[in-house]
Amino acid sequence: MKLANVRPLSFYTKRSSGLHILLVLLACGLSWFSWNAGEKQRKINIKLIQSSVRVDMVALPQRTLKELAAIQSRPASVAAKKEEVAPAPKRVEVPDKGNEFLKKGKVVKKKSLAELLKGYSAKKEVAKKVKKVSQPQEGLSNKEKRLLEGLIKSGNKVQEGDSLVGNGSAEVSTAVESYARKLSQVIKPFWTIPSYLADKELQTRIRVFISSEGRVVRATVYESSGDEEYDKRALEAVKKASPFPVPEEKISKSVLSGDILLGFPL
Amino acid sequence: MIRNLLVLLFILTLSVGADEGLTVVAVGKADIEKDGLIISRAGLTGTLTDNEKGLVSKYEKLAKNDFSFYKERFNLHNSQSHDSKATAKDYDSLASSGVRYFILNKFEKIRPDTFKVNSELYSVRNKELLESVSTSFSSFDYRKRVHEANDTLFQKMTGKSSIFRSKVVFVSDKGSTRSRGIKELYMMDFDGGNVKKLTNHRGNIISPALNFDGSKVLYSLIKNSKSKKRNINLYILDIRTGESRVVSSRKGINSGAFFMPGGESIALTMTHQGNAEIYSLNLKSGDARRITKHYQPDVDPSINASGSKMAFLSGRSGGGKPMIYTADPNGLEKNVKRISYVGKFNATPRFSADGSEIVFASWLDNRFDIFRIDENGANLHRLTKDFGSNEDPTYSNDGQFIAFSSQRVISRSKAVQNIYIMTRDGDILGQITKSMGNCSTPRWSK
Repeated sequence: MKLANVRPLSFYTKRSSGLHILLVLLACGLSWFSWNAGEKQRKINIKLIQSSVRVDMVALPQRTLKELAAIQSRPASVAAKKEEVAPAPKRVEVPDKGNEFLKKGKVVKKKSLAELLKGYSAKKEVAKKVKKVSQPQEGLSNKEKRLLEGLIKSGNKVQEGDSLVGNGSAEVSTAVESYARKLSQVIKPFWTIPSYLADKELQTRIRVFISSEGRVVRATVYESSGDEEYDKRALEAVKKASPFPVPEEKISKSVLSGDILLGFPL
Repeated sequence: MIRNLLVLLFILTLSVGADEGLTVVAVGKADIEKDGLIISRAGLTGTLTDNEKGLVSKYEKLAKNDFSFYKERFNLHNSQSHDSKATAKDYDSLASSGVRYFILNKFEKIRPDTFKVNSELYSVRNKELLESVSTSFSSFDYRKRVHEANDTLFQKMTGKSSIFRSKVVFVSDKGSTRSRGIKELYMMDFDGGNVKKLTNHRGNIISPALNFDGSKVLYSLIKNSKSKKRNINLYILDIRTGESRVVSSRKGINSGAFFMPGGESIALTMTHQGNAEIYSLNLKSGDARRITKHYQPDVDPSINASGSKMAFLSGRSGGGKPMIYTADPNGLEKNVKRISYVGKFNATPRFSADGSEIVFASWLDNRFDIFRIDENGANLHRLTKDFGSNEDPTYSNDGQFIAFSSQRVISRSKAVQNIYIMTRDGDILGQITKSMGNCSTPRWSK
């Protein structure tokens, strides 16, 4: 080995570090690029969920619109407590022709569920009829029996809905979705706009990053309405409503990474 | 080198792996903040009699009362005195107290008991004069002038027309004696002022209906005669001339009339062919055309503003429970659709101004209450509760309010019935008729 060819150590250090820096930069660039591509993918994966309850009517409503509105605007701490309503099975044809009526779209908080059920005394009759009809049929499988029992228990009339217009298609919600629903209930009371924005049909979407304690770490405008004031009001509503219910541990990571978008109004 | 590549790959997989999709949740429609509104007076010069002072304050009180109907939209602040035009400084202090508009009334005495008033509307947000209306008034016409000026100002603020110019016709038993009960037709401003008696039949008037420009009323009359064959005939009254004439005197009942758009023909219930059916009747020729044909009774038609849909009551579902149906009034039994499936006794379906909703009365817990339903049968809502027995709902011209009659039982033999106004969501604003006897069947001009 010729000594003449040996360069000082600093020369190699410089080269090596230069190469490494380049590699790191390349890695950063690539990952940024792929993350962006992922974001695009995420956009396609957007799933709009809305919270509502479908109510099938068998009698005139006992509660007035005002009473229902009062229940709805109650802070969602109550809503957070309420039990999950299992997606009800398909509606059973009740042998009571013409006396049932689909009331779709009205958003009713589940807090009132028990009272609603109590209110619809007629409902019980319907449920009883179902039972009577079902008894002579020996051939019911256990699964069907359980379904029917669950149906009777739930009054056959109230089930979890999944959209504001209540198209009634029962979907099993994920933990993130049910948490997101809670958020929308918590934020709703704080969501106000001045009258001059009311008729403009604006829409904005806010992306929220929520810590495992339910605090809003960050809230950004994901899709702007084009109106500064409107976006500002939506952000304010989110901030005022914080802190939110504590997310379950299994979803805390995705909630923190901003998987939830809040649509104002959709 | 290989290690570097590995690291790179690791970073790449990390960023891609985080992709699970976003969840959008709808927060829903925002509550709309009320606009702060101040109505104030600029300095009034000259010496005034007590009468004149009273007239000016009546004008102001009425102006505020108009806007108080729209309490979901406006928050009326107490007026302060502004002696001249608003200054920039004023705007800022007003804006900080939540005021978005203010109206400055400048009164000027032009003759004894007659004033000129210039109403200036300012937008606090844009710091500018939006509108200026001037009118003159005396004690005879100040109500009309206030309502007209306010309607202009309201339109400027909201871009929509108001109820301020609208009228309500109704039936009252004022003047009845113990032995002779009479019900005559009256008309009033939407706020209960300016009551005018329209008829003097000394009989019982039922089911009035106003045409679209509020110039004519249809009504049916049960005459106070001793004869057993009392026919219920349909009349039309020209409000401007005060003349009334019989439109239909077919055998049996001719009632529940409703103007079709254009005002040339009407829909009504007649029983001359035996069963109660709904007919369309040309006012000029008197020719009748059947709209419904069913062995069960069909009554109480109400037509939407475009004339494409008719809501009515029918017993065709059986069980002795009248249900609400819609149909195309331009044909015979055309596009009949059942709207209501519940209720022991549904009555008086009426379309909203835009035809998207139907308000009706239904029997629940031993009384009538008011309910609302979309014209396609969705979204059934209860509007009144624990407020006496409520019947005869009628939408306002802008669709934001519903007038109805409410009856309270005072003792076993006595009950009072008055007309009330509520918002379309059932927030009751107050009693409109006062010391007018028992008032029923309000019909709001469109």
